[in-house]
Amino acid sequence: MADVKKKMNVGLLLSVATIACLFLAAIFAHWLAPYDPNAGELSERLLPPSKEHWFGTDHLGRDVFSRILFGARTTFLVAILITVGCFVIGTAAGVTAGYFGGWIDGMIMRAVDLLSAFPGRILALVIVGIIGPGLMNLAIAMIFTSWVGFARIVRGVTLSVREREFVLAAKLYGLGNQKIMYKHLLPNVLPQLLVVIALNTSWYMTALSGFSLLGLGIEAPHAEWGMMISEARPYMRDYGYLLFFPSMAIMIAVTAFTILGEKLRDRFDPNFHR
Amino acid sequence: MKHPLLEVENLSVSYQMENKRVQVVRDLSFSIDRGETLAIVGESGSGKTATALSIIGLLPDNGKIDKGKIYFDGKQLAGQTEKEWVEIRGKKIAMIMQDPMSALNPVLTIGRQMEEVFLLRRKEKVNKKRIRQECLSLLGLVGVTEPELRLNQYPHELSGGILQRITIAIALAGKPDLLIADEPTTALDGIIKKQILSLLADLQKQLNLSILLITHDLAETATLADKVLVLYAGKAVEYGKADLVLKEPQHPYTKSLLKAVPTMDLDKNIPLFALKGQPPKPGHLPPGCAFHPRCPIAEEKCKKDDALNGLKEPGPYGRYVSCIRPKEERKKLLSAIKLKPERSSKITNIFSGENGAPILEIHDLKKHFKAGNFLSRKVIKAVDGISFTVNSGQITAIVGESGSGKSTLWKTIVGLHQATGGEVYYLGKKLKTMKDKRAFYQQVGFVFQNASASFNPRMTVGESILEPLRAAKWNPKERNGRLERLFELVGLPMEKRNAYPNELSGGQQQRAAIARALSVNPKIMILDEPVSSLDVSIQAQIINLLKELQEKLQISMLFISHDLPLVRYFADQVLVMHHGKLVERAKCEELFAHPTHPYSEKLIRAFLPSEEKNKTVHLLCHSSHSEMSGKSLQNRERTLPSKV
Repeated sequence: MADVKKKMNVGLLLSVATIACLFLAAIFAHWLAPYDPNAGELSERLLPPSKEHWFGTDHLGRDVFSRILFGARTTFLVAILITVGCFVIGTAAGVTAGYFGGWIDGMIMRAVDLLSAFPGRILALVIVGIIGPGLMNLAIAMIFTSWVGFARIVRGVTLSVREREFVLAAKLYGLGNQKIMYKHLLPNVLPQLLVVIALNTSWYMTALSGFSLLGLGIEAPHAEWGMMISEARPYMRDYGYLLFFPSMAIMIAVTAFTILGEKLRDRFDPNFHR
Repeated sequence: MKHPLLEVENLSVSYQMENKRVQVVRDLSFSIDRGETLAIVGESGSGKTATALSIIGLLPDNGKIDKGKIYFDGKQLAGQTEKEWVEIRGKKIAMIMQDPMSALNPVLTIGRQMEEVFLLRRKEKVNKKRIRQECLSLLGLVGVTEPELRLNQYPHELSGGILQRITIAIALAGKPDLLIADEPTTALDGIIKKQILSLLADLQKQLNLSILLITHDLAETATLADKVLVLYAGKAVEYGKADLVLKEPQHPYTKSLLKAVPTMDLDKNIPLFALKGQPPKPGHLPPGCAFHPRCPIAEEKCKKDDALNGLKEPGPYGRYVSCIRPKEERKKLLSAIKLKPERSSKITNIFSGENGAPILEIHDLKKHFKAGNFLSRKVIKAVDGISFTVNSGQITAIVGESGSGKSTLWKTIVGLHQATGGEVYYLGKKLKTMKDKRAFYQQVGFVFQNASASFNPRMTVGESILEPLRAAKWNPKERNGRLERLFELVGLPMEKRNAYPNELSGGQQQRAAIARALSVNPKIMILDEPVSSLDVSIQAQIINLLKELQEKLQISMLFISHDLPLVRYFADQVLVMHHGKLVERAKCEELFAHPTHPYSEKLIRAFLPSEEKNKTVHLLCHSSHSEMSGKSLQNRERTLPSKV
């Protein structure tokens, strides 16, 4: 029994440590990166990993390690931006729908149904196609298509919290609807959302990299993991490391977030106790 | 030599909590013979469920039998493999749970769930028709009416009493020798409770069944048990023949428990006997005898020496009492103190209702719910034409079985449900608009059954209590002053204001709920089953507190309950509800002395002693009508029995 417990904590610890490392790398990329990520030295193109260039250099002679550090910045920050955006819109919509019920619930949830009837990534593609490529636009498109998932979950949780007696008590003691939603529903809904937040962040990261791979994300000289994979494609036969390092970065980050999400669920889900 | 059916020796069970092992059962020994009933009595956290679960091998993963032996029919059970357990569970030892509603699968018919037992147990080919026959005879055995129909029904179509009978039938399907009943009646109403208990007693006689009854209700023990084991903090404090233990409890805890159970002969003018303090949490036991902080006869050495460790007193019938004091001395002390109430002052006669002005008047209130689809419209009359008046300083009790519309009634009164018809007057003013109702219910104090659920788990108790005041726009200084006063009123220490609800015990949570109810200085309080989820000893504390507050602050109360002895003790006026209708409304004394409606009579009789098993029952709840028989019937209103 004690062993199981220990293992659980190790997983949590590892994922948090990984995410923290990546996060620090993203923030302090300026100081950590040995080279300018965007300045290439054509004489040093396509060098294999060495002491000077840990992860080698790409087809323009740029240092891959530096680019991965800077890439963390875009991939991470944009993924988090998307998560926050979805979270804010989705939670507001979900709590409102769940708390009031009736026609308000009907309207919000029909909108949610409508949006989720389209496949998310294709819809995002269409939107990016309309408003033009670019990181910000991509983020907007993804927020637009994926807040619905949050809204649905939040509404479900709200429905069950709403029935608890302390909400009734708050109502009977004269609290307004906004106060009840903010002070009583939200704090009890949030812990159950942590899991979704962590899992969705990893999903957004893969999606972002995927879009960048298609050339819809960040513009050319800037580093982004999916973008790096995309650029490495023509050289993949002879210079596998160009593909390997950014893919590893994506894999590690996504795995860390997924494990974090699952561990958080184990922690907070009362039905999941071992 | 003949050995008992079940013999437990020195059983110790512990649970792995967050970062430590917590002992929940400590050194427990008992035995059950064939055809015998043993009742394990204890408050929540005393380890009674852990004991039952270890006997049937269903301890949760974090639970472990540390030491001790469990012999069943001469065979050691502790430490068996899962495969061996399968041979025992259901076939030799069966168990029924507290809540029949959650014990049955809601999406399968009763028939399916009963057949399953046979299909699982029989190895040879089975005949569907014969299984059905067996199901029917089992249902007949447990007294389910219309068994044919029941087999095709789903759990939600049936009442709690019938469902509990069905779970008993399922438990009996494997022809077990031992039936473990874990609080089988806690989720049920008075009348049904009694029926289930007498069913168990019948079955025991008919089938020569042994029963292990787990309960917190000593009165329940009296009707059923041959032997009683009283648990406190995981240890046996008293063990022996039921009638002896109940008639002459020798341990101060047993005696206090017996005294704390509300009975039909309580004197309304004397506060209920309440044990001080709360039961200790497992893992935080006081040193020495775990009971000493609450013990009325504790002395210095109780704080150091744990009598439970050595001083067993194996008297006649295997009885023992674990108390460090010698028997004679203890006996003398116990009878000398007579377990006096905590407060010596007599409560003054508080029946001020007769002269008090009406606070709340209800006229012909109706609440009908529409149910069903457009093909089969149904109207459920949850509250159907109820009128009554609550006078200032008066306690009005609403009694009735669950589903009789008690909760819907108060929710309709305060306007949480839109009334279908009828009027509500508060202080002589009619409540018409939603705004009136809002203003009204903000001046009412509410206390709910489940105190822990009525607090936001993410807010400190202090914040929660002050919330109504914040909503009413009090300034912070006034609020803090008020909080101190409230904590003092309900007897909570001030340092608890920054605690979160889960850090409080059940009793403290309910005190906090009362403090919150009082914060707005209400003229009327609505109490929806405020004590039914509390342990007996705590229940008495809360009732005493409520009565004291009512006396001090002259608050009217609407007290919703199904515990009639408590209502008889607590209320001034009683409303009896049945299927949404008010069947009787009378002054408390008169109702209990001379119920006029057959349904009220039936309700009251359910709480009177039964003569089935032990004569000691009388000791628990013999009625004394003499004190109130003198009153006349003139003040009584009643509706004639229409349909019962």
